[in-house]
Amino acid sequence: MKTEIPIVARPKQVQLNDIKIYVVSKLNYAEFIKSYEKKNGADSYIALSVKDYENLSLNFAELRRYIEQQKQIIVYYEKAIAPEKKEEKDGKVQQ
Amino acid sequence: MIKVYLFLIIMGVLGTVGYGGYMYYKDTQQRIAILTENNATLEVAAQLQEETINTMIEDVQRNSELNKELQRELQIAEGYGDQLRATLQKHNLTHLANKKPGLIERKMQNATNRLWDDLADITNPNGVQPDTTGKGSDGNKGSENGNTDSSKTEASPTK
Repeated sequence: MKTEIPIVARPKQVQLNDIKIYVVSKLNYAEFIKSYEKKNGADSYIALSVKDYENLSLNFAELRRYIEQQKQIIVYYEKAIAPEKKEEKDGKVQQ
Repeated sequence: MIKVYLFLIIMGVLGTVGYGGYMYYKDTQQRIAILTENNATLEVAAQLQEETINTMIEDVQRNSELNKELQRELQIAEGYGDQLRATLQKHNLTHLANKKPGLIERKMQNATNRLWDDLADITNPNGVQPDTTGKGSDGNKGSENGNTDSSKTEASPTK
């Protein structure tokens, strides 16, 4: 006889904040400084090299993979412990 | 007188044979009853054992199917990262950013917005199975999320 384990509710969905990315090169540097200062009221910013942006993307991809795989493992366990459905002679399905 | 003795002897022999026969019959019936009972018990045990074996076989098959499904899903989950790596290797972002900063900015922004949407999707407890085929990792498609102004701190819309 299997021990019945109640399936608990999943955690609530993530709510992420939007971010704005600026790509700046010599071509648009002056324009960027002007529009950035106008929009944000300051000319200080955090810069990221292209390589670091790539690494950041890959890190997020890794986190996404981990979340997705963890979720699939939970789904696997939920299915494994779910009571079996048995079909009776009259065709009705009973758990 | 001899006839009486002879009669008694014959009666004694017949009585002994009859009693022996009766005892044999009684013992045999008892054995048959015990063996029938044992047989019934063994039949029940054999049936139970067969059912247990069938249940175990079904469990093994079910677990095997679930395991295959899990492995497939785990493999699919690798798709996004693989495609992103391939895209980053294919394009020289530094060169593109130097030449076309506006275009690359839009693509990066769209790809980032889509990533936030994907993360919101895969953490949705209502269980909508996410598309993990790596769609949207190349940043060449338009974003559904038009709000990209960082001066406003807003959560991504819940799907």
